[in-house]
Amino acid sequence: MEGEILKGHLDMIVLAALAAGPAHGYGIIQEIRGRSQGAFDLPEGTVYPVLHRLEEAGFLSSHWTDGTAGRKRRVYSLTRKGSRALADRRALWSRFADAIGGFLGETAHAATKSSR
Amino acid sequence: MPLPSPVADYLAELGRDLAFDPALSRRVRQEVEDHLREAAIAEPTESTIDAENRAIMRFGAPQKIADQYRAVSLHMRMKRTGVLVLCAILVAFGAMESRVVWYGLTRWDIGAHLKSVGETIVPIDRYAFLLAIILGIVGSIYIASRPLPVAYGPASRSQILYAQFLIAGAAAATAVAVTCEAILTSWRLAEAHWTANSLLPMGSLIIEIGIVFAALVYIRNTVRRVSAIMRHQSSASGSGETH
Repeated sequence: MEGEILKGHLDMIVLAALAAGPAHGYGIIQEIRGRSQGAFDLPEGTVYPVLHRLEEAGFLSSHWTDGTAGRKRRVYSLTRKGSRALADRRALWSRFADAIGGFLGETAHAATKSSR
Repeated sequence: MPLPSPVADYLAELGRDLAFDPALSRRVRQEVEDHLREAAIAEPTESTIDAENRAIMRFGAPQKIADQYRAVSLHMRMKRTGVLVLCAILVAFGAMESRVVWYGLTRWDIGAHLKSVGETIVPIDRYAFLLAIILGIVGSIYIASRPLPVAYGPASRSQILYAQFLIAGAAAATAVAVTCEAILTSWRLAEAHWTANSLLPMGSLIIEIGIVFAALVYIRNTVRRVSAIMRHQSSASGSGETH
């Protein structure tokens, strides 16, 4: 999928990936890749500034845990504000997708008719 | 001789790019190291170096990652500066009021000369303090009400500069008010020849000066950080980098 289109929706995608439960950065990226069946394939590093921004905005909380090989691992989870924001964005996206789908459908229908 | 590690080199480069915010840099490097090591382990290759290089390639260039952190870091720093200045104003106000109450309780009269000096200094003190409150509140509300920027650009730049102007103005006005207070209080204490009653005014003045000084130092560091980031962005865009 086009990177620029994806970037515009990265906040919503990250929030949705965390709706399944707390996860660390790598886990979130795997979740996004898995759920999108590989369609959302951004440079992995772009997810971390998004996590940081969403945390500063109060949508996520995070804490350090013990990871593998003695490394520290930062685990993120949705806050109540984050869950509300995700629900709002889902509703907005649904309306937007319906409108665009309807519009494109009509345009395609009209184009097919005029070409006959 | 230590083994070459692409991940260690990458983290060092990322650390240099995030040097504008040392606390953020430490946190991000730890997080990225965990990611890259885990991603390298998942790579289906025999060579550790190849696996690390592949993980790094998928992660993206450190400069681009750091650029995304810059805007948020600046925004949050300005927000914290606003809160600190408001706290300094509140503490200064509390200290000033405590002295006024104390002078009333101890029936502390002042000499004619201090009274005439006070007629000039007190209005400056009051108006400077009022200005500090207005600028501090407007600056803090302004930056707190802006959404966190996704990337650094002209819009976030002007937001930061505007907030910096208001917050630094508030701090400067507070410093003027506290200087006026320091002159009046020192004069009053000198007139009273340092009795036990002098302890509260003296203590409150020290606290007031201390917190305003701390706020000014913090603002100076914020201004330096803002200038360094803006210089970096200008030189990066001047050299043709895309952000």
